[in-house]
Amino acid sequence: MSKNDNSIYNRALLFSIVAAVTVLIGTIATVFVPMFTEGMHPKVDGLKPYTALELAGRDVYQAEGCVNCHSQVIRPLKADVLRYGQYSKAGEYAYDRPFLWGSKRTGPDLARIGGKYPDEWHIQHFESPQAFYPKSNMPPYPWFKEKQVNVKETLARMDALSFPYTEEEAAELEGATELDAMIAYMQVLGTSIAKEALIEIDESMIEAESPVKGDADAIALGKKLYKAECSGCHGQIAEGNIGASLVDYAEFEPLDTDTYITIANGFEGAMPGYAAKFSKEKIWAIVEYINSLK
Amino acid sequence: MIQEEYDNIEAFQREDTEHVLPLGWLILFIGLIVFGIYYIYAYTPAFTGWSQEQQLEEVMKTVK
Amino acid sequence: MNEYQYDYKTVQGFVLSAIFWGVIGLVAGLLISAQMWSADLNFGEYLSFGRLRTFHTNVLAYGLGIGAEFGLFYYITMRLTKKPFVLPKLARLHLWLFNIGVGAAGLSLLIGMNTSLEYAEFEWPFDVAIVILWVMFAINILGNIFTRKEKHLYVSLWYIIATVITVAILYIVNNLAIPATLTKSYHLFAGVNSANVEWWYGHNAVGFLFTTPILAMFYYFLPKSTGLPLFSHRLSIISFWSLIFAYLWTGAHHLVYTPLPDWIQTLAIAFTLFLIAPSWGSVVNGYFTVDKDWSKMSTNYLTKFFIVGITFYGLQTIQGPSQGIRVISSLIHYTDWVPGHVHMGTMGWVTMVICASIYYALPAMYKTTIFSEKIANTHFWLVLVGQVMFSITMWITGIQQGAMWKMTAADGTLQYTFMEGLVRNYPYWQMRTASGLIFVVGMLFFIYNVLMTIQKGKKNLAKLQEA
Repeated sequence: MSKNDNSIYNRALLFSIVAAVTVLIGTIATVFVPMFTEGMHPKVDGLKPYTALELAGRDVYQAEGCVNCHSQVIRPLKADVLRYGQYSKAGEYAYDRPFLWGSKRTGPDLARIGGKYPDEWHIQHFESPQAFYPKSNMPPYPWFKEKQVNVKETLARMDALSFPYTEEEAAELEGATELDAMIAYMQVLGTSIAKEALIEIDESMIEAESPVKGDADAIALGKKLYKAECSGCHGQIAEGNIGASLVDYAEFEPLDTDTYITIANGFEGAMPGYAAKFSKEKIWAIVEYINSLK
Repeated sequence: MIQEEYDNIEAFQREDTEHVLPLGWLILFIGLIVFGIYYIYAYTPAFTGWSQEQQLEEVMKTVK
Repeated sequence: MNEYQYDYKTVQGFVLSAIFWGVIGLVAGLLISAQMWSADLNFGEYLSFGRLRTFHTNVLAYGLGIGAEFGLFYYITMRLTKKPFVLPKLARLHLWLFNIGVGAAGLSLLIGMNTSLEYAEFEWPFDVAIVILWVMFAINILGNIFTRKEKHLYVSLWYIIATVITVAILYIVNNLAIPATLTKSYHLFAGVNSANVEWWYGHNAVGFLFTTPILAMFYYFLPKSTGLPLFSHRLSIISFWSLIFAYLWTGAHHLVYTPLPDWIQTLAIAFTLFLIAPSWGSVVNGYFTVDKDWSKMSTNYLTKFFIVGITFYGLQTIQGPSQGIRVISSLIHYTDWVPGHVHMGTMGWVTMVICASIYYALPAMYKTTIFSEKIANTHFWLVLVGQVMFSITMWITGIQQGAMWKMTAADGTLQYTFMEGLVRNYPYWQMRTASGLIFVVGMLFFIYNVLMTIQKGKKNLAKLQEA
């Protein structure tokens, strides 16, 4: 302890000033200076400001605290890219106030959820996530479809953000529910850059027909995988729901390779592809399960 | 009225070890500064060309 | 002896308020921990996980944490400046507005007013109120310090001054927003910049609400309760300045492998690792202080709270920086490892030291002794067991999660679907709920002890006044 009167530990004002300067150095270097550099304000060409309905959805996303469980940023790491798609670019977030990258993945990342599923999937999934994944811990959101979007409020928010909108877009809000808004928001996420499939399967890459034709073990595995990942859309007994009835599909006796490629590549906006998520053995097993439905 | 006792500031700090810096701790302190300088050098794109995107490219070469 | 009386009523009010909000926040924590493994426990719109989890973190941070800090800072500052409040009425008003603010702000989260900036979720009208509250607090604290009767600023006051100044800077900058309507605003910063500002705030809110204030308490109450003077003044000096210097560079370690420019991430990681040194400066200082007489661990019931508390601080500040390193971050970020880490800090360090400080300060204010050391010991062991179980289960499941997300099959495709990874957490999450319950029971022992001590103290004061 200093007995010297001039010591900083005996001079409160001086101490406070030096402490303030000390904490400001790092702040200036890592926060204030970058703020004025180009690198912090990029924008990809395909990025558009949110429409009124999308913004209303984004606001619901914030109000419900979705960010607690879902991230919106894909890291340049192999497993992230395989699971969620191309890694996120800084320029995709130029209109995000605030950013919603999150810090926890209790649920999956949503950075590229746009176009992954059809609207109907979201409608049913928000109503009851457990209808798709019985063991899911996501809360159901049945009130989304009941609650109307507040038109005046939403337009005031658009104005605050200086996002452009036309009369028609404003009119479109009339009668829209929070569910409509959430779906609009979900479907635009990650769509500002062209989607490129990491793995695109074609006939040259796979066997000409199922290598596990009629194999009981493969059918059992296929059934298990089907129940876990496919039954939400195609129905518990493959009777069809959002997706086609696979019982009917099997009746046509499709080529094994066609079924395989459909599962592997999916359909943009209708069905996600599984090429990066399932090994060849698993996909063939599902093919065999579908064949067995006939 | 109940009387208050002062906190005696002298009683808070030891005189005999007032200026001691434990050696092990000092080594840790300096060691971390040295490592920090090295780390900043090694992982700043402007110094060594390292970048997280490039790191991914390297890894993805192993995926067909 | 001196002729004046300290205004302890405000300090006591803050302590009781902190306990009240603590109970509410902990109960919310138990409920969300159960919602994690059973979606059936989401009771409609206002008590669904997303809203309730935000409520949990904020009520505990702002209600329990800051509430206790306001009260104990007032206590410490009055003691170390040898001066009662400069403006006692302002302090009393501060107490009332604080409680109204926490209540209203907490409810605002449940009705869906949420900016979704972590730990800065309150909408702009509450931000304005919080800044006003902080200014009232700063006036009281700095007012006392600038007009103090003790020339020397003891270490605790350094940390208090740093807290008052830095939190103001952090909170104001990160909450700059474009207000759209009364209930909604948008971050002034967009995209990558928004992320950089938010985590500069987010990490330093941890630093200057859960580190420096608790160190202020530690440096004051450890010597007071043990009667052992602080080991090294020089070590406190170096630890203090290097801690508050380095902290502000580190926010971006929350953004490793995001689109934030690499150089900012790298700087943050390097400074984060460096933080081990100043943090351990305080740990070592604490250990060497008690080193003079380790028998205090068994003869003085409070010593173990402080020593175990600072030990968890030490562990926390090794684990935290290691998580910042890219290779570890790539495995455990976004997993339950992180809540495990956070709760070791909040349950093992922050709450431990706050409770011990209250155990010391409350009887001192009432000129009495603690109601029951036995209950305090029960409290100690329950919260210790609860917290350790909590953290360890979270670390295990976090590593499992990270590994399952990463694992690829021989042909380079992913081994597990997201759901397969998720359901494997459930047993651990159930254990986490059980651990949390043990912790909460421990806290109930604490609360009972506090309330009984106040009863005892009131009788004692009445007796003293008669005499």
